[in-house]
Amino acid sequence: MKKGLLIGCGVLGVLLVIALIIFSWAVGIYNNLVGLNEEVLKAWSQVENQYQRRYDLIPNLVATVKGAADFERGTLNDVINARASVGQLKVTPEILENPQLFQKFQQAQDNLSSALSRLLVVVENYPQLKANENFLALQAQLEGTENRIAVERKRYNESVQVYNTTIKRFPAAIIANFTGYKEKMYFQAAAGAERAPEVKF
Amino acid sequence: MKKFLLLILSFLFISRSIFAQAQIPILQNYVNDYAGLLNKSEADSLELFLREYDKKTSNQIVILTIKSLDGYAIEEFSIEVAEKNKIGQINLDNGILILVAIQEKKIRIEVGYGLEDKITDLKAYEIIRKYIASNFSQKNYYEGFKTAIFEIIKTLESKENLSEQGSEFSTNKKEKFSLLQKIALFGIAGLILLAMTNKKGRKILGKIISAIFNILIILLYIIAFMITLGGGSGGGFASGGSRSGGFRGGGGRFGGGGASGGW
Repeated sequence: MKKGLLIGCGVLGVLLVIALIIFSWAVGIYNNLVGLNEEVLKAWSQVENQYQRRYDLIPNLVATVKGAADFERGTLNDVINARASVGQLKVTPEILENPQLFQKFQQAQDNLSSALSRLLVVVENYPQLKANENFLALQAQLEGTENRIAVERKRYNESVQVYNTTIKRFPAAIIANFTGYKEKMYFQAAAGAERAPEVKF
Repeated sequence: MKKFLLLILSFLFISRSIFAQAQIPILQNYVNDYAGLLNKSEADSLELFLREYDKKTSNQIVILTIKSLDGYAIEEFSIEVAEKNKIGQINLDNGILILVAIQEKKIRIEVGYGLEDKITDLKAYEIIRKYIASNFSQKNYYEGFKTAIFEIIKTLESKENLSEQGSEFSTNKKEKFSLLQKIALFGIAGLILLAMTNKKGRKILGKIISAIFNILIILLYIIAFMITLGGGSGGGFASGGSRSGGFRGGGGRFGGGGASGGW
């Protein structure tokens, strides 16, 4: 009788300990997920910052180019329109988990990139612009920003990769499922980004 | 059990060495003239100057010249070099890399996060154009580096007093134990106490403790493994550490700031 009770207590104790260990382990995994998610969001906000910076530089660039090379209306308008469609995007961290919205975001930003690079190529034909200090300054800033965007996009992708592999792997996958951590989107290399833009005369 | 742990351990080390990149040089000096643009005394004088400047201000300016980029874009190569060598101090991110690729005739100044507001992209571009490219086109390599470094330092000092707020990126480490984990720990302690007051409980307790111990060790390794996977850059052993006076990165970070040019 007494012995049975003792064994019962022992078994219960062991079960309790195991349950507690599993629980605290699950909490550890969850905390890790929170941390990884935070990393992704941090990387994302850097991407956004750099895109914003580029967005803010464009009006100046457009004004400078307009003065010197007014006949490049088409190329200039492309930039202006692409910038406007970027401006219309509503960007919240939720788009990271929404393939359509993310695609739209990337498309708009990539369009702006290519419109800008076309403009900068066309402008090579205007010696008075290339001698314009103001323009050279804007060009340097724009190139710098494009480079920062590339760096931050790469870092964002890296952080998403760590996050995505973690939430897909057992056993974190179970906890991610319970707590609503979803897969996040990657930036894709823009189609034809490696090709230099064509110039038509 | 031990074999299992050894296996995990060896896996940790192997995965580290496989992913280490071979092409990106580990910088051991402030002046790393792999392309041979400077003679010994020129390199030494720049080296000494930059080392003293680092000691005085903790800003790390590093020169790297290479023969060829081997198809890399210069921006890509320079950020990888800067990141891998962690030029600049941790949390200050005050490193600058001057990279020259002789075959492609390309120059890049890579600026750490913490100095971006002082050495702006525009400033970096100007320095390349006015001091480096103009001298390099006449093969005055030493003069190009010297004047560029002076200009960088002058710019840093003139704006030193304006903004001293390090970088926006102070990483905040989260507390390791959450409330729930603390409760779990207390629960276990309570159970142990209960068992200890009971004679027969002791034997069971011994087994439980050894089981818990084993599980904990496995968990620890799993966590350590996750950290190595997630954190990525643990730094490892600084290769230049043993050489007195050599360059050693302080943990600075870069975000692609700076400018590129050519001659």
